[in-house]
Amino acid sequence: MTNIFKSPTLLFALAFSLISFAASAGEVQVQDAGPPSKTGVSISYLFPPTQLSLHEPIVINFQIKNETAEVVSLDLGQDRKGEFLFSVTSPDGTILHLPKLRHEGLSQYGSVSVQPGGTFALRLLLNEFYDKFNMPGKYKLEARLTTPIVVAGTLQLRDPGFKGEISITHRDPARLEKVCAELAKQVEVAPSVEAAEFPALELSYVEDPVAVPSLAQVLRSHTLNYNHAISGLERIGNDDAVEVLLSALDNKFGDIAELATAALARMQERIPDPSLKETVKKAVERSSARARHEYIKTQIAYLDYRDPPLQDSAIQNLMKVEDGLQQAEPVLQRLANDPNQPADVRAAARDALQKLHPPQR
Amino acid sequence: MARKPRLSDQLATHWEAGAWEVDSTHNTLSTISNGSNQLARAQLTILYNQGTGQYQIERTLAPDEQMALDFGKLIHNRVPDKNGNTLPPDLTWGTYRLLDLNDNPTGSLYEGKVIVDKTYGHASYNCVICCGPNNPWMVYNPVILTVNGSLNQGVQAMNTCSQRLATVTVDFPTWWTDNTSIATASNKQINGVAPGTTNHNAQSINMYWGPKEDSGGGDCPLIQEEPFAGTEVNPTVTFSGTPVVPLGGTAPITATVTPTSNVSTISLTLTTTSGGGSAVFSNGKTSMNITSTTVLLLTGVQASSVPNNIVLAASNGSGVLASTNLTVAATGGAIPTNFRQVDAYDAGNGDLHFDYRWDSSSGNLADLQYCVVAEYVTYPDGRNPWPLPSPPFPPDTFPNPTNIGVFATLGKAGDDHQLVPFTTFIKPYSNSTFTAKQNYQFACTYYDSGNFHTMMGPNFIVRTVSQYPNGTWEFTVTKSGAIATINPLP
Repeated sequence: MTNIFKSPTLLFALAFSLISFAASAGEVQVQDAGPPSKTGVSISYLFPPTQLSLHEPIVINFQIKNETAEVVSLDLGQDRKGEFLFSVTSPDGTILHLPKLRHEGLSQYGSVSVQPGGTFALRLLLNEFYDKFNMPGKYKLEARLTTPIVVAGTLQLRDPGFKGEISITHRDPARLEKVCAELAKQVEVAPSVEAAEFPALELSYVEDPVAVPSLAQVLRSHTLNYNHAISGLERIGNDDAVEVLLSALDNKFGDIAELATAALARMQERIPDPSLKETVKKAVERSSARARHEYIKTQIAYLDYRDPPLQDSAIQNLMKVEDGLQQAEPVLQRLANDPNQPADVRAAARDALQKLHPPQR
Repeated sequence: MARKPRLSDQLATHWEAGAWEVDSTHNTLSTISNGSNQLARAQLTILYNQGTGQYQIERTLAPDEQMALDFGKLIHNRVPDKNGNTLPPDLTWGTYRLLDLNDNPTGSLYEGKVIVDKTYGHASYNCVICCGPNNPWMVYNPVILTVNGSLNQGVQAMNTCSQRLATVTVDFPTWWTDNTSIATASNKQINGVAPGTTNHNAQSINMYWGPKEDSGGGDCPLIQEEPFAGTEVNPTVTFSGTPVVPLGGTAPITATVTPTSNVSTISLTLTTTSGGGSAVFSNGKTSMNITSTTVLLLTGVQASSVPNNIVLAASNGSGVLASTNLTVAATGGAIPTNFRQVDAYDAGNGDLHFDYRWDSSSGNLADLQYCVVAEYVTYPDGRNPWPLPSPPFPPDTFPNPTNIGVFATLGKAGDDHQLVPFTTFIKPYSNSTFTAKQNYQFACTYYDSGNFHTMMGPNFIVRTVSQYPNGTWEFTVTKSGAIATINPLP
């Protein structure tokens, strides 16, 4: 998701690359650092101002400044991050070339236009790309945007990328608690789902028990970013996180209960405390039964839609779910006997009823 | 001796034959042949004692295969029939009938027999009674299609021998329509091109069509039948996703009419199916007419007492062309409306890409700042995460359910049905398929406790690995009539 910095205070830049575009000659110059060219396109990757402690979220600020007289277009990829490539060298010397961040399903478009004189800025959460910043030390980073930067619809520039290094110090629970509390507060007071998105995402990647209360706070705040809180709790996975998810099963807002159930179902096997594990197992079963009941209710509602494919699909679904046909029997009877229903719907309803009450031989 | 018929002019599924004779001075020899290019199941029934006695022989005959019968030997050697019956030893005459149990509509069997006069050496050749289908008709009349829709037509006729209904579509190799700008025919498949009416026709091969009758020793008369039927092509109408109309407010919903050149009138109506609740069009009424794609503005007048109890339907003289259900409710703020697909294409590497758009009930997308638009996808069973069947699919899992959202203020989103991060299919390949069910939904913090409401769906995402006859393998992913492939799989 996208976040635009209007006036970021950048105290520390690990790398700053500049591309200048000389329109008359069609040349591209690459400089290591320096003020942006008044006629060029500059790209920068900027790091947080201070050293980070272990488990703090690591944010990179990507910025592109257009000082040409033409519109600059770029494609950042799926969700505005799918076309970035990162590689990380961990303190023990292991080098990892990370895959692009892509996923199945719905996403925000990655295309962006920067008007002449304009700046586009984007925060990237490095923990999304690499979730193993789990030891103190120095990490070398490389990154680049793999798609071309297009000036005036024709000229294509390449992001030369950057190389840099970050230092992560030892775990500092007090500092981490403060960071988490601040992120949770940002989520709570955000004026929109979009404004709450990045702090919620950052918080969800704090894989430390210290984050649990703040994640619980996000769940209680009833913003539509609660999915990140549930993912964060699942990643932490300690007893406290499990307890928060258990209490979320009674939360009626959105689909918090369903997502919490799904998370607990995935976590069950790695819960060490036998009694908590048993509690989770029972809760998941209860919740699954509730979900099944809701599912059946929905399918029964579909039976009354005047949409034969939907009606037929609902009948098939009811046949597959335990107790589905029993609960739907009155509606199926009505459909089977309704001359105004399409013939195939009536036939499907009759078939379903016959499955429920097979003819006596 | 049996005569090989000219082409198929004397092939039939049913023959009624005349008398046979077997005594001290006569014998009857018969040959039954399969003159078709497919298997026939010949059933010969010998009738005697005024039809009270029956003796049946059945045999499967390959194309061009013959079965020879010597009636004298059947009687005197006491050869049992398929039911274990034998013919009475003193039997001297009777009749018989021949039937192809496979009911090959073009006919398959031909037959000839010779009655031999053993005293004088005279042999008389007997032709049989031919019969077959008569007065063919089209199965569907009229054929009702939508533009770009198609339907397989059929031809049926009453078989005058068996008095049974027979499907004789394969006898009709030639199909056409009277107006190809309205509908075309691809063999028996009738295709809608543009709204309107026309006839479609079929012509049979040259064959015997008619009542059961004695051929009188000659050939049966051959004709080409040409049945026809009406064709009615209707425009298609699809509605975008506007599941909720704000009470006292308005919500857009797009009625997309195909083709864009349609000029026929389409009636739109808003009906409350149960309980209370109502909505009206921008004309203040519950009905209006359109001919082309129109963005309708619905106003919520009275809150629905039960969800989805208002039906927006599009119809013409042929009936209902499309419908969608709505709820009128107090929403507490703007909500996403008019969810619609605007594009779908194969993006390469097995990625089936869709583009969607939506609006705000307020007319301003920025008012949706407390809303999300999401997809909700479930996989075939309750396993979570859901493992892809691997091999042949990549060794990956999907969260089950998968719920991914974007900011509603964007008003647009892409959807990629792709296999990531693992994209390598695993050998040995095998035929495999799985289907995911997808709904597009919205939720707003101030409406219905943040619960999600379906705007479009269910859509079915079907992924398949299948083998071609030449041994190569293909991956396909389909949804809403669109397809992406990897062909061949490496």
